[in-house]
Amino acid sequence: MIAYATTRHAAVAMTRQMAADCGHENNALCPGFIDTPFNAGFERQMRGRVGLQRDIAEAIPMRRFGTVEEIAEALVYLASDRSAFMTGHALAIDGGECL
Amino acid sequence: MLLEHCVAFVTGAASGIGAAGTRAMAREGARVVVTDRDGAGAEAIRAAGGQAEALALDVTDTAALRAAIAATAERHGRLDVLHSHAGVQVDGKLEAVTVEQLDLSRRLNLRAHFVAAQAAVGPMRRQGGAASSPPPRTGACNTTAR
Repeated sequence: MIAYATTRHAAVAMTRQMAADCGHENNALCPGFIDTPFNAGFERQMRGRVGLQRDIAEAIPMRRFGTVEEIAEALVYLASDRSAFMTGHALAIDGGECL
Repeated sequence: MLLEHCVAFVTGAASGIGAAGTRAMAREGARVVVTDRDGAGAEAIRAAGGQAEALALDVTDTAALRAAIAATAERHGRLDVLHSHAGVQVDGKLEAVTVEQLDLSRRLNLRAHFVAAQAAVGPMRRQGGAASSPPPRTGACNTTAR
């Protein structure tokens, strides 16, 4: 996942710099494994669906995929006044994957 | 509702997380401009999403992305939320990934966020501080990856 990880981490760095440059709210939302077709690449790298599910069971403390609705809740938070004093942040919603 | 009177611009909105985020913001009262390379998919989300608009948009087309954001701010008189969501997941380790795949990842996962934020920040700055509306915000959708 070198192309993916490299560009995503660069986007987090850019998010922080944009927040510093502009002074308005600018954040990155970082979903963990959500069960959508977007994972097709990683699924191939893990040699199929079974490999992907095994990886999730072993590597993620909550031992499951997240849902698109769980990510949408975080998006509404970032898009609304509820996060008015938060900027330059990378908000991980990932079942503990990054722990 | 949390996003009443807000105008939101979303890329990669026709499926998965982008579609769910679009539906959630519309449910909270936002007027959402639903964009995706898959124009028909964007239209389907728009049709189900309250006061939304749909647009076919490839975020690697710099001129088209800039024009779409400018037109949104112009048409609605404001832009409150940019959700730059479109991206690509290229699999493979160092020896398997081609330079062309790295460039595709860079164009979608980094450059398009830059272009979109740059296009949005002008209109957002001009409306900053308007009474009865939240301050504008931009954001990229990202993923921590191993």
